[in-house]
Amino acid sequence: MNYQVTMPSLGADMDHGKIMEWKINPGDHVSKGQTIAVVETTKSNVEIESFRDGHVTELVGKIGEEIPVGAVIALFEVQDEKGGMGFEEFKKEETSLKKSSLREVISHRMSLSKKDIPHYYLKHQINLGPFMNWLDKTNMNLPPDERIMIQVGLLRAVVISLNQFPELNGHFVNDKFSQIKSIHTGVVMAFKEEGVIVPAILESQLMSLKELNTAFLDIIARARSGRLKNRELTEGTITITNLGDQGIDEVFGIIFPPQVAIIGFGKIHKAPVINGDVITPEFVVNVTLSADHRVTDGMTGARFLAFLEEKLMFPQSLGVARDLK
Amino acid sequence: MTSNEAKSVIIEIFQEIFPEVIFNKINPDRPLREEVDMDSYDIYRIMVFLAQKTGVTIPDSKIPELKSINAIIKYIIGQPTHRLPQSPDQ
Repeated sequence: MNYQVTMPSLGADMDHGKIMEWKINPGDHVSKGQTIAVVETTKSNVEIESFRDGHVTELVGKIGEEIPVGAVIALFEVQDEKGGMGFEEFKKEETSLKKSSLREVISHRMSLSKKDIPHYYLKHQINLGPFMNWLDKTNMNLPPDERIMIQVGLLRAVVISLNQFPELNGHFVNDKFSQIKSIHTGVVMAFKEEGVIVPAILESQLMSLKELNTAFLDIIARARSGRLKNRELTEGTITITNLGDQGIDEVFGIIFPPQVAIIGFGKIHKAPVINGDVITPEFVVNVTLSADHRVTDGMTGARFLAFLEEKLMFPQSLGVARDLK
Repeated sequence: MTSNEAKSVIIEIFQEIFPEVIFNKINPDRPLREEVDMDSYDIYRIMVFLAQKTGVTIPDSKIPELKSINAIIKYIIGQPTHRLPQSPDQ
C-alpha cells in the first residue's frame, strides 16, 4: 500500500524544514530505522529515519526547498501493518503546533500529560556508599578515556531494573498500554536557554556498562552540537531526569507521553546514616518514581524502587572492570 | 609535579573545554561551579583530561570536596603519579 513520509516536527521552534540531502533513491529498499534524509531546522541539522520497511516510490521534497511540517516529502510502498505505531497519533497533534517555540511545545505536552495521566509519586533514599566505592575502584583500573560517569552507573542500574519491571517501560496510546521490549532510555538535558531536550539512548538494554558509557557521552556531544536523530527524539520508552547538577535534593518528574513513568534523581550528597547503634556519614541519593496509575500502582512502583536499591547496594552486578565489553 | 606545573595543566584544560572563559578572572579559592557555568559532563571531561595529562585519577567520591581550583591543585601535587592502564587496541 502507499505510505506517505511527511516532514516531521522535531519539536523545537519548527514549522518547516529544509531537506539538505536525500540518502535514498527511487526504487531503493528502505528499512525501518534507516536514515533517509538530512533536514535543516532553525537550530540544527537532524537525520530523519524511516518508520517502516518498504520501497521508495518517489522523492517528493526538493533539496533546498522550505517544506512545511506535515507536508509529504516522499512516497513509499509498504506492507499493510495491523495496528501500526499508535504514537503517530500523538505526533500528529504536535505537527499542528505551527510556529511554536520549544517552550510552547513543552508547555503543551506537559499540560496534556498532567491532564490525562493520573500520576502517582514515590520517593526513596538510597545509600550510595557501596556504589561510590565500586565506581572509584572501577575507574582506577580503567584508562582515563574509558572512565565511567556516575550518571551512567545509575542509568545502568535503572535499565537492569526495568528489565524486571517491563510494565514501566512502554507506550500508553488509544487507552491501551503496549509493553515495549526495547528500553530506549530518554535522558533529560538542558537545551540552550530555552528548555529541555530528551534524547533517548536506543536499545540501552543490549548495552554493557562500557557501551552505555560510550553511548551516553556520544548523545550528550550530539545534543550539544545539534546532531540528534529523529528516532532518538521520538521513540523513548522511559525517561530519567537528574537535577543533582543543580543541587536539588529530589525531583518528581512529569511523565512524557506516551511513556508511563519517569525516574528522578537528586543530588548525591553525604548524610547521616544509622548503622546499628552508630551514625556515619554516607553518600546518599533521593530517587523518585512518577508513574501512570492506569498501568501500574504503588505496589509495583515500590517493588521497582526496592529492586533498584538492591542493584545500587550491590553494584558488582552493574559491571566488573575486567569483564567490561 | 609542582604547583605551577599543575596550574599550567589546568589552564590548558580550560582552554580546551571552556575556550570563552578568561582563566585569570576565575577566583582560584572560590567554588569553581560558582565561577564558571559548568555541569557534570564538563566536570567529567576535566577529570579525564587531568588524568591524561598528570597521571592523577581523582575518584568521584573525592570530587565534591575539591570545590576550587586551588583545592584541585593541592590534591594533584599531593598524589603519586602512577602508570595508567593503556586502552587496549581494538
